[in-house]
Amino acid sequence: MEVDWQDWRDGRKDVTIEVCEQIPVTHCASTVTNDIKMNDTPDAPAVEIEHLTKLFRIPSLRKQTVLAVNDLSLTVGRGEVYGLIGPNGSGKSTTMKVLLGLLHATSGKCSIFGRDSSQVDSRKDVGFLPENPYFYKHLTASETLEFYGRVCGLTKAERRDQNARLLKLVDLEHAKDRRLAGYSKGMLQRIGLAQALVQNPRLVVLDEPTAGVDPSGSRQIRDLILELKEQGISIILSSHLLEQVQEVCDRVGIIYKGDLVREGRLEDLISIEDQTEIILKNASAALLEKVRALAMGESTEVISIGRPRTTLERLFLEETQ
Amino acid sequence: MSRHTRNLLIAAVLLISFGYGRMYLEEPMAKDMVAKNYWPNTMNMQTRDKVGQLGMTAALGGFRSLVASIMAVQAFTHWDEGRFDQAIAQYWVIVQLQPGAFFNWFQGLQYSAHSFEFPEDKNQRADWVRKYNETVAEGERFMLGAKKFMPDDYRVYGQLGMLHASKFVPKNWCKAAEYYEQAAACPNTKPYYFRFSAYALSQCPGKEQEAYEQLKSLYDSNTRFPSVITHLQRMEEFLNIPQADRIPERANKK
Amino acid sequence: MNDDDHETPDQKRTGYSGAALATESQPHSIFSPSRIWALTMHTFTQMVRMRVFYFLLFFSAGIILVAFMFLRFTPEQELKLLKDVSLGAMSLFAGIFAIAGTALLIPKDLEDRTLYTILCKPVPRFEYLLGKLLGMLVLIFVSMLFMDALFCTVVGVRQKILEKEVAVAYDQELAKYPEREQNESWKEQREEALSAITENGLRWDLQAAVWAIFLKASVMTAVTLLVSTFATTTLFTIISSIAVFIIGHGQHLGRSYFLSGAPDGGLERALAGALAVIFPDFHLYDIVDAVVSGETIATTLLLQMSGMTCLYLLIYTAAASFVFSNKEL
Repeated sequence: MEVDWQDWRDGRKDVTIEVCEQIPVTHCASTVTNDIKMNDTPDAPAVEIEHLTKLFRIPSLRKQTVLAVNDLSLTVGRGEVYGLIGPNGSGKSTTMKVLLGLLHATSGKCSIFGRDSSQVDSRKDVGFLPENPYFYKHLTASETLEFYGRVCGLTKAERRDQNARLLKLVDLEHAKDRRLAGYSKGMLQRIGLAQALVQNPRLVVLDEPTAGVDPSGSRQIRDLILELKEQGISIILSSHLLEQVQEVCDRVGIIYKGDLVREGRLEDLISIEDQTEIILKNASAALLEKVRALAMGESTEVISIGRPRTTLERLFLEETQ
Repeated sequence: MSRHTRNLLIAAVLLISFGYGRMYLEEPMAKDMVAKNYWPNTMNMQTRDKVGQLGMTAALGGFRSLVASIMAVQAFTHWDEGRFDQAIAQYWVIVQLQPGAFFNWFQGLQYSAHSFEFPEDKNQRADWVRKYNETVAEGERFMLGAKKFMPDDYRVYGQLGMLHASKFVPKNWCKAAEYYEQAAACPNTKPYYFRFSAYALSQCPGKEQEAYEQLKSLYDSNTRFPSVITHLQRMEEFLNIPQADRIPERANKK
Repeated sequence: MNDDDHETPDQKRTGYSGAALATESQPHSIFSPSRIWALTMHTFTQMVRMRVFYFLLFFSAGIILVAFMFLRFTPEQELKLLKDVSLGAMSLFAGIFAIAGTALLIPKDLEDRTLYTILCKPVPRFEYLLGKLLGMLVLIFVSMLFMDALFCTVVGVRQKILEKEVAVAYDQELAKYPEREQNESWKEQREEALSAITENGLRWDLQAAVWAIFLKASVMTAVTLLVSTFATTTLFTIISSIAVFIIGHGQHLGRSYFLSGAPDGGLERALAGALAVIFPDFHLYDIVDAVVSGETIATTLLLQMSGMTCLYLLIYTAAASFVFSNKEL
């Protein structure tokens, strides 16, 4: 619950005080250790990126290069939702593409559940929704899932079951036999999410999943992400919609000009280090004066004492300007 | 060296090695195809001038047959509308495109032979004959061209024989006999070319004895068509063959 | 703490997915014919739904028109024209499919980002390329099958009609001049006229020509796929492939010169050799003229041609895979 400090100072009675426990910046989902898959390192995090650097050559006579990602390291724990945010061209998509083997790292390495992500077999565990996916417009939603199921090596029965389940999950059962050419942007994003989940991946990478989607569609996608999170799927999400990131992510990394400038638990990142928030309930004006002096009173219930929050948006702007 | 550069190099080495190695597989195949007369010629710049850049590109791209057919339709239109020279010129290009197709050469000959316009004043016979022979000679050139590409084709020699036996004015029976004989000697020939050769030879001065022997051999092998009998009897007369050795038929004597 | 707290994320995941998929516990196979087939059939479906088969209507209309339009030609000329146009149209359509269709495949997938969704699945890049190649080959094969069936039907029907017309014409002449019954030359002429129609009509060698067209289109598909793996635009791929197609028809000249061992002209020989090494030999497949002219195509030659095509497909696809395997997407 967010409290306006001015309200508290003005002596509003419904102000509460919550005492937040300081949680160290570690992997919030580091409790995940068991694993049911083969060829997996049991203790390995979902994603581990170590000192990733990516240089792009500019086609010209001079051998010019652009540094897209600079010595980036991050870890995403199992079952964790990680938000990668940054302005356009900051290196988010490049990082994701390297992770998925679509681009090759200039230096550094990435692994998925302990396996080198440049190897094809690591992708058995990954589902990817690219930014603005178009898919094959000549296919229907059912055919799309059938196709992706086939390339993932699913059996006929598995494809049938997955098809039914995923269409239900993304709420596209009613449109399953319509060609994607006639789908709205939101529907395309949802079928995109369904195809990303077709082989039951343990990690889902979502690149701007709500870009260009209307608020209602965006909300649907957000709910789906939360549902996946509930089911323990690790998620890496890049988005410009910071409010959405704030709603769903456990941890956030801010990437700017190829550098990971801030990273940590969302709550820690958005707390203001040098301030303390005291939320009081039923406090009189006099008491508040005392509290102001002592910050504690005997007849007053101290519900919460913590740091007031900024918003992720404010933090983002501070870090990237 | 980056992985991509390394892979590009591997691909290049693979393609060059394959390109070098396959030359020694493809060359014998190509020679075999030439020997089998699948590709009788290559086109030259003159052809390019005639068919135009687009036609040449199409022909080089493996669409010779199609280009030739389209030109044949155009030639037909020219001929049909009385533009004989254009039709014949068109056929000279067509035969360059498809020299292995006897039909094209034959069609060129046909257009040459049938495109002669009779002069209004038929009294100028010498001029008439000269012009007429020029068109027949054009037809002969088509067949002589065909001969280069199809030296074993009986149809080529048969048509050349026909030109000298029935088109040129005056007729050249000796040359006709020579061509018919060559036609008769070709593989898969038709039996009538031997007969035609004998008929023509019987009218070639100085070759009467040879003609008689050929006609007699035909008669003896039971080829007793009316023309065989007629020509044979004429030779018997000419050579004063004793009555006892002459054939008994009388009815068809000219 | 309730029981749910003991669940790992992976165990929770089964909440939406049901039982774990059978494939999850299997090791990843580096080569999967079923995956390749899925990509093949998908490419085929993609092209079919792009309405590429509409061209078949043009082809049908074209050859029917040719079959019954030039009625003033001689029977031989008419049949030759029909075969020329039909086989020419087959070559043209197969070539267009091979170049334009293939050139579009990868750039379109890249532009639509569908390539990402495929390659971030456990699909090796060479399987993706192989699927695309086979999809195009299936498409060309099916198109040619249809065109061939139609072509044979039209030629067969026209041949029967012409044979009947010629026979009727000779019968009418005979009715007018009964003495020709005794004229052997006339009878031979009649037989020759009829056999000329048969010789220019439906023959097995026409199938050899159709097969050669398919083989040539297959090599062209592999070349275009190779070019598209390093090309940056579709236009470049199409133009380059057309250039390869045209130069490939003259490649044999360079090869013959290079292999002739002529002592002079070192630079020219080197250039001719380079031409022969770089470009495929498409002239090798040019047997349409010979077939239309009535030549019989040797079976051994067709086998050699098919073998060479397999080699081309194998090497060009392998080279394309090398180029594509580390391409930045």
